[in-house]
Amino acid sequence: MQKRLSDCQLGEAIEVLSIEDDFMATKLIEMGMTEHLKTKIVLIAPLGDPIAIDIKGFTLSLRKSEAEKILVKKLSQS
Amino acid sequence: MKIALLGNPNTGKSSIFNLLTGLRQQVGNFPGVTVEKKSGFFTDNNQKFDIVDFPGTYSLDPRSLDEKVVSKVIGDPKNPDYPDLILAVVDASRLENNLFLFTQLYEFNIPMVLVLNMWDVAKKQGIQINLDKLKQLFPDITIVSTNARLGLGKERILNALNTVKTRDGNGFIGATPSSNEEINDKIKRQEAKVRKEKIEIVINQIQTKSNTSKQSRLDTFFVHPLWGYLFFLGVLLIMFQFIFSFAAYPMDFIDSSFGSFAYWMSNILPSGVLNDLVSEGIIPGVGGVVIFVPQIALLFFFIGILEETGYLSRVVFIMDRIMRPLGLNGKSVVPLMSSLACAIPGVMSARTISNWKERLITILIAPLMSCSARIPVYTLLIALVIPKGYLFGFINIQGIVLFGLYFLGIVGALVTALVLKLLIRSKSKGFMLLELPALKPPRWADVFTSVLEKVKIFIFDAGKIIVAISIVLWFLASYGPGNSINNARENIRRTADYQTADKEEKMNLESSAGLKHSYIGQLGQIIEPAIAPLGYDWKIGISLITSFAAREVFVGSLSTIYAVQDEGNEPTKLIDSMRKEKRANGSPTYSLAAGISLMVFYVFAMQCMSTVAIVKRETQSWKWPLTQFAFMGIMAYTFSWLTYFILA
Repeated sequence: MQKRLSDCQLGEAIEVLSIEDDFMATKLIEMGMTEHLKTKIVLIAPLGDPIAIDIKGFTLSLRKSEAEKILVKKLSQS
Repeated sequence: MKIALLGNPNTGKSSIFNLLTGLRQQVGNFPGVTVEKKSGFFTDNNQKFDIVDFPGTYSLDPRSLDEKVVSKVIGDPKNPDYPDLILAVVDASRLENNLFLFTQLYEFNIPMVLVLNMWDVAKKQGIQINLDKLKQLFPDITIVSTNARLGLGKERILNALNTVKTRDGNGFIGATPSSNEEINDKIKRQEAKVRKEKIEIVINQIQTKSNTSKQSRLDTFFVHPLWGYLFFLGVLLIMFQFIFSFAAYPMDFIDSSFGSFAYWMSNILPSGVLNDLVSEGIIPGVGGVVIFVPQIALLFFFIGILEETGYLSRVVFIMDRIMRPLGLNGKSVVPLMSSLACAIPGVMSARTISNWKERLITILIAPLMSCSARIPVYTLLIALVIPKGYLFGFINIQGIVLFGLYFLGIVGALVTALVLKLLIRSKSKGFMLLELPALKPPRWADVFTSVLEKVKIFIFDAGKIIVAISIVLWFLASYGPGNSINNARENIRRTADYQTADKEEKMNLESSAGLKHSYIGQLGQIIEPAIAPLGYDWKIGISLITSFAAREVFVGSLSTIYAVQDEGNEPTKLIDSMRKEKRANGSPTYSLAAGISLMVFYVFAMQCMSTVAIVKRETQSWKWPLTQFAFMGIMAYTFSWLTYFILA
């Protein structure tokens, strides 16, 4: 099921499908987030924004407005 | 040999820099930009190595100021900082992410040493890196592993520096990252993707297990909607308790030492202009710089700990959403809170904000937070015009007023932020992709080095301007047009009051008469029509001008004007003189309306040359400190006028 990263719950396991903004996609690749990355929502700030995901040992915090541009797929927890 | 130290943020790059250079380092700026340049040197085998610690970046794509600086230097052999060797640092426990910048650097045919730092962390997490294989893949550079946090690996780095290999001209994907900002985003994205895919192939060859960050239970606590904020509030309270109670002792000591030193010098030097310049201008001016050092050092000590442990980024995480509507970001919290102690370290700590617009707004509003130098002014005026007593039987009225002044400053700061957000244009996009580094105990050597660095910047960069302005102020207060000061002193000696006064009072009466007829005194009288609508007379005008040196000087100036002995911080005698002070029509000068109007003036006015100096230092131009001086002055005037108009 496709949805936006901004709509994910804490602890949810996801796979990144596509990133809409070229500029942001470049920045994200530099920091390790690529399409097909399997990851997890590890922290959500009190007002639901920003959120933090795990990128291979690196915790990245994104604002909700940034997360909205990232399409993801929910993975069944394994 | 010139070395460029490069790497991602949070890789322990600074620890390696400190390990190599010890304290032989200095901080400045890269030419023309406000990016911090830390440089140092060390010698090994009779060879001198000059090393520049570049800001930590994730790539060479010149988007942020930091990245621009790095790509400019690395891409231009004519640049004075162009290195003979790149010392690239990566975090071994997050090798895959860190290789991005490394492979970009590898494209340039500059000799290179790769440092796999945090080797122990990687090991502890069960990550095995095949070092031999990595060396095979990059045969023309030297690769070493270190553990700089524990101080291990210096020898290995030095050995590597002595056996630098020449590059064979090979790159990684063969595309040199361009410092051209015009290349479009699609092409950049494509290139980044190709690079990343090739890195993944490399990683598969050298590393068996990839890392996943384990969120510590502390993290859940730090970002908790209730406990997270309460804990942060607690941290702040403890910080300010320490700063206020601990900084007071060295500050008193500095104050009295410079006082006695000035007195001693005035006795040694032959009396004359030189004597006055030294004992009344230069020494107090330098003292006025040094007095801030304890607060700055303590504040950066605490911030250093918060930063080193990784807690600070959690604060940013929980505050970002709250600060954003004001044109600020989560990182603005610390500078603003710090400014409650003193705006100088506050403005300096705004450096962590990478977005220029958000950083600028933070710097511009920081001095509106009521700093500790306003406390003597507030307490004197409150004691003077606000009646003692209790509201509803238990709320101290004077306390409420003090709280109200702080509150007014904070509200003023936030509203100003909103206005500035609309006025300041900025090209940079409001991105905040922020790394939350793993929580870890602080490395004390790094904390102390950063404290030392901040103190040095303040003393040498801002200090110059502060001393210069103090000398100007001294001149204006000590000299008057023609012979007016001497005449005034002569006149006062003939009065009956003077004849009956004791020696100390005589001196006070003379300096009071002198100040009134000095240039500053004249200026106070000239501006009287302008400040009369606020409820002030020319004597207050003089104090407003002199307190540009520092707000608390207000109290001292009034003491001089009313010729009272300044007995330490005990303003009781001064209060009595101020109470007796009458206007031409016989009403008290310090009425409730005038008193409150004056307090409001001090909430908003930029009465601090040290802050002006540090804002100039941090923004690298006179434009912003002058803008700030102007809008704070306008706010002060408007709101004081309104206050007086309504209350009087």
